Amino acid sequence: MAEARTHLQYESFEAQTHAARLGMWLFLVSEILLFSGLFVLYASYRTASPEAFAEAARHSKLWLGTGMTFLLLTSSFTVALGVYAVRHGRERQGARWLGVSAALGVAFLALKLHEYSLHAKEGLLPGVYYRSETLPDPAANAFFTLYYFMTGLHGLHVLGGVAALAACAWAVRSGRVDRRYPTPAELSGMYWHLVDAIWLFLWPMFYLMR
Amino acid sequence: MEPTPRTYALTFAVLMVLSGLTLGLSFLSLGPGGPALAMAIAAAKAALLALFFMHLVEQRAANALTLGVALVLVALFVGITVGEVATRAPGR
Repeated sequence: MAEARTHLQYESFEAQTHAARLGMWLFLVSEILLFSGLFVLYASYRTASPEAFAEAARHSKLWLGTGMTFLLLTSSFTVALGVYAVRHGRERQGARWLGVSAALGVAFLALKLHEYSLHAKEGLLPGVYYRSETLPDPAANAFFTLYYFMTGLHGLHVLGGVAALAACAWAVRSGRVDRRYPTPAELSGMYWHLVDAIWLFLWPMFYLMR
Repeated sequence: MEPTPRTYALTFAVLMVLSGLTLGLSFLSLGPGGPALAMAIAAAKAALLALFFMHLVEQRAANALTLGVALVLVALFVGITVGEVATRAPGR
């Protein structure tokens, strides 16, 4: 990689890439810690009221949640292919995969919003707005409040990831990101995989543990 | 060693199989072990994502250490809090 784009403060492209990746891991770790508070709340409430949580999870839209899992896993695969293509000089192909991944993210958000609207019709709303007659237990209220907070925070991350992937696809197409400088695509990919990994926990928590 | 598209395809296939497994298990009544099993499978899937899609296998140990330390802290955070809730005297 003699022609790789190295900034002047780094002695080699390898050192620059390592610094970028380590910085990204530190950011991703701070995201994990941000979510961990909500995971602790969920685990505590579930431990205190296991039956009510299982009952509430039976009211989630299992097949919508499963479809969303499928979309995110597929998008992680297409992001990995896209980053690989950019790193190996097949930029046009890479831009296409990144664009496909962003589109899968948009499809995920569409399903999520559709699901929110279905829940709202049943009165399964967060906090004081909760008015379900089929699930009157206060623990079910806590379940759906956490559901909105956790999937909502996750959804915002998906939105951010879609923006990052779309921006990278554009940057690859316009030649600002290529095999000599694939770092932005690589870091956006890492972010996207983290967002996917968090969903891999939310899926059983809110849909499968019924 | 950088993962190749072959590695990615294999990782994706294993992730789909594990997802199908969790989905299938959710229809069985496994008692209190069910949630633990579902979360264990989720953790295995997240590990595959980190190792192959996020390239931890080819990166320097400092990156894995950063993630590892955070996961230990999260485990303590969840473990201690849930332990407290689970061992409260009845009629809390």
